[in-house]
Amino acid sequence: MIGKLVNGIIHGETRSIARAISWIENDVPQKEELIDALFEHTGRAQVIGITGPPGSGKSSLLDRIIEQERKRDKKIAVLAIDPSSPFTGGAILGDRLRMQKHTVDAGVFIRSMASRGHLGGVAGATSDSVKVLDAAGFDLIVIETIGVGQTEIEVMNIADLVMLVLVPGLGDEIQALKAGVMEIGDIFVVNKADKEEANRLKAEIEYVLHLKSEDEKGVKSPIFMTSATENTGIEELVNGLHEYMQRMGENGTLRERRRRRVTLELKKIITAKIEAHVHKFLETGNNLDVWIDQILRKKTSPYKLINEKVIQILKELKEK
Amino acid sequence: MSRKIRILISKPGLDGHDRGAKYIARALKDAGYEVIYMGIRQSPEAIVKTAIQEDVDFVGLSLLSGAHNELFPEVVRLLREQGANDVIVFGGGVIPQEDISFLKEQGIEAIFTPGTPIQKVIEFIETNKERVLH
Amino acid sequence: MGKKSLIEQQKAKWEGTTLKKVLERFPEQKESFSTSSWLPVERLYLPRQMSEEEYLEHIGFPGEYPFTRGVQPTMYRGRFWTMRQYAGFGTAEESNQRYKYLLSQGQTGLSVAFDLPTQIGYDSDDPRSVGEVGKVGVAIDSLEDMEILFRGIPLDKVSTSMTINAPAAVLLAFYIAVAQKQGVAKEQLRGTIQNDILKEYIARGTYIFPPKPSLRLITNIFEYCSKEIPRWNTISISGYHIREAGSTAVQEVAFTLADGIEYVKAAIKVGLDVDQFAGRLSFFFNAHNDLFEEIAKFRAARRIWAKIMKEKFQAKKRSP
Ligand code: B12
Ligand SMILES: Nc1nc2c(ncn2[C@@H]2O[C@H](COP(=O)(O)OP(=O)(O)O)[C@@H](O)[C@H]2O)c(=O)[nH]1
Ligand SMILES: [Mg+2]
Repeated sequence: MIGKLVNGIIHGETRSIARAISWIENDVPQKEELIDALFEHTGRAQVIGITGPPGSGKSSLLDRIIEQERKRDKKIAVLAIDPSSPFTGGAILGDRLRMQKHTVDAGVFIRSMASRGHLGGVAGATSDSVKVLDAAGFDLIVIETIGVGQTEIEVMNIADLVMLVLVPGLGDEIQALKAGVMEIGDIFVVNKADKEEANRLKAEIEYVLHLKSEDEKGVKSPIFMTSATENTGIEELVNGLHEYMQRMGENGTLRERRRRRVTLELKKIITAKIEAHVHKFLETGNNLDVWIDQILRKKTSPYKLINEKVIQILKELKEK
Repeated sequence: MSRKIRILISKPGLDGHDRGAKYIARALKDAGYEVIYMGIRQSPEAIVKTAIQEDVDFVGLSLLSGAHNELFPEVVRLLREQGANDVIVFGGGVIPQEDISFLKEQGIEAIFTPGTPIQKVIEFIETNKERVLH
Repeated sequence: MGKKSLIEQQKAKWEGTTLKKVLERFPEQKESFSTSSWLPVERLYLPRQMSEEEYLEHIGFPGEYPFTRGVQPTMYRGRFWTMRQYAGFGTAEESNQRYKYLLSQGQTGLSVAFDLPTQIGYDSDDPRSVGEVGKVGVAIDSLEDMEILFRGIPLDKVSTSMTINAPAAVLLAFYIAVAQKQGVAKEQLRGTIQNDILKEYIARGTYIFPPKPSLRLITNIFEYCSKEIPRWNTISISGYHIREAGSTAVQEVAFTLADGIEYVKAAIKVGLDVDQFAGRLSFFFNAHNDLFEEIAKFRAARRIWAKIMKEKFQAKKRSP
């Protein structure tokens, strides 16, 4: 089964790609084997994150970017993330509504993803799904985040480059954004430039960027003015995006980012594995209940008890 | 993470009545499903491509313009042609009683007409979801 | 505020006695009551205190500014409204039969329902028309179809309303051509085209072109008609569809008048004189079930529009 799926993915078959992403989203047991099998086929794609406040035009802009990239004959995949309801777990996924003219284009793959409780502006399945799309031969993979606040910045750990979309008329929002989110943007886009206050926003961003310490390699973040609805400024944006990416490649930023990404990924996997094991250990034979009683009856103290148990857990893990 | 049921809601053809489709999409979200909403004026081909990319378990079609006998079966046909045999297709809208058996023969498994309480739709999904759990 | 009016005093008494007794024995079914537009409904309404000046300013007389009580001084005591049933089905021949039948039964005008391919600009044999041809209206693909549709119906005698929006210019041109073939001068033509594209995006769905070029088509029609067919209503600015799509009564009026303002602005922007076209702008509102709310809505809509035209656009001429 996995062999067939892997084969389908590397031949770019839509159904296999789509099913693999579902496996990742549903965290099926075969997931790890699948990702490992795809590993040798990954590393070619460019991964771009597109983030910004809800309603800033991320999806509309993406629709135009796809148009440009298709003119250049690039194969492009999109992962569009929307929030799951914290109450019901349900979600309405509507980003692709804005990219409909690309639905029947075989060179475009769009997948909507619910956050399923994952914090950080993307879904828990996003980074592994990027690997599937990479192995499937897409030249460009774009991740559209839920939107941004102070904490929705995980996309910077997944993408090679992050494009931050802002719009006029958000009032003091930019002030609030200044702290967290402005720092994750490599490229800035003032969308809805057809609106009056767009130039003022650009000036504001320039000011904020001026305060921000320059990029490690002294690369200045460009600001683009676009209107997704009027289709203006898009070609400049796409050109600028590729130029920026190229520079990141030349000055080593890209290599560093990818290294950082692997570091974080490995840390995440190891933490998750050990955590899962700990949970299992706690649940077997009412371990936790027994300990709690011991503590309540003052038979032992918390640190002493746990230090002994950690040794036991590690030993078990080693034997496995 | 647990297995989530994913449902595509769309309107094939040229019909613009989207109140019912939006209501269904919203209600299914509130019932805990992941709903991909495609909106009006979709071709069967686009619906099927989307269903496959999104790897949905169910495709819900809505039509109030009378084109259901042509368009609903076409969606089923294209899905099967693309090898998506496990996707369950259902639908609703202004659909005369006498067309329902024909649509069922064509593989549209349930039709919900005006006045249907949402609970009936949820029941349909709950009783059929076992078949799509992969 | 001075002391309570007599009615208010009596009301307080009523509340303390008659009402109180009944409420104690039979509490009301709900804590609060509202219309379907969520406007609260009080238990009891009493004559409203209003000065004569206020009355004259806000209410006035029928047929006079601000038209709160109606656009005609005698309303339907004088002339009835035009009676027409929305009709159209299958081919032009079948619909022509229907129109003749309806006219023979005393209908005083025609109201044409077109099928969806016609409304969206597709031919009947276009692949996108599959299943929709002749279903929810008549299929018109050519001037010949239009000639058949009105065969034997004297266009100088009937007034025709056509629910057509994106391709309104084409269908109106057909109508004029059919009239000319019948030997009817275009100046004699009476009727309405819906021609309201903004609400198509909001609620109805039969748009073809983006908003800007669509608005240009509309203002071109305003200009043409004001010169060539002066008795034609060039647009029917519609709240009906917005309400049917789920809005409240208040939203219905608000969105519709906002659309109306956009059309007037667009026409003025291309150099038309407001008094040249504004008299032929017509409106189409819904009549839902809360009788008093609906009466209030129609009155408010008329008054607000009258004020907008006079104060915002300096219109001077009143509608014919
Ligand atoms: C509201 C309405 C409109 C609104 C639509 C607004 C909007 N954005 O949705 C407006 C005013 C714009 C409109 C316009 C037209 N309309 Co209309 N409209 C209606 C009306 C009165 C109610 C429909 C509605 O919204 N009901 C409320 C919703 C919640 O219910 P529902 O859609 O039926 O959905 C329920 C079920 O059917 C089911 N369901 C529906 N879809 C799905 C999908 C799934 C997956 C599931 C599980 C269930 C399900 O569950 C829902 C909940 O119970 C109906 C008559 C009627 N009583 O049905 C006519 C009606 C549908 N319209 C009709 C017509 C002809 C038109 C026009 C085409 C006329 C014309 N020639 O121009 C236009 C053009 C519209 C277009 N672009 O396609 C006809 C269709 C005739 C036919 N099929 O043979 C009808 C039946 C009226 C009639 N008796 O003639 N309309
Ligand atoms: N005026 C204007 N509106 C835009 C522009 N881009 C997007 N919009 C509108 O903004 C709204 C939100 O767009 P969307 O792409 O869904 O934003 P997202 O939530 O960031 O993905 C939609 O109504 C778009 O039509 C633009 O450049 N100019
Ligand atoms: Mg979006």
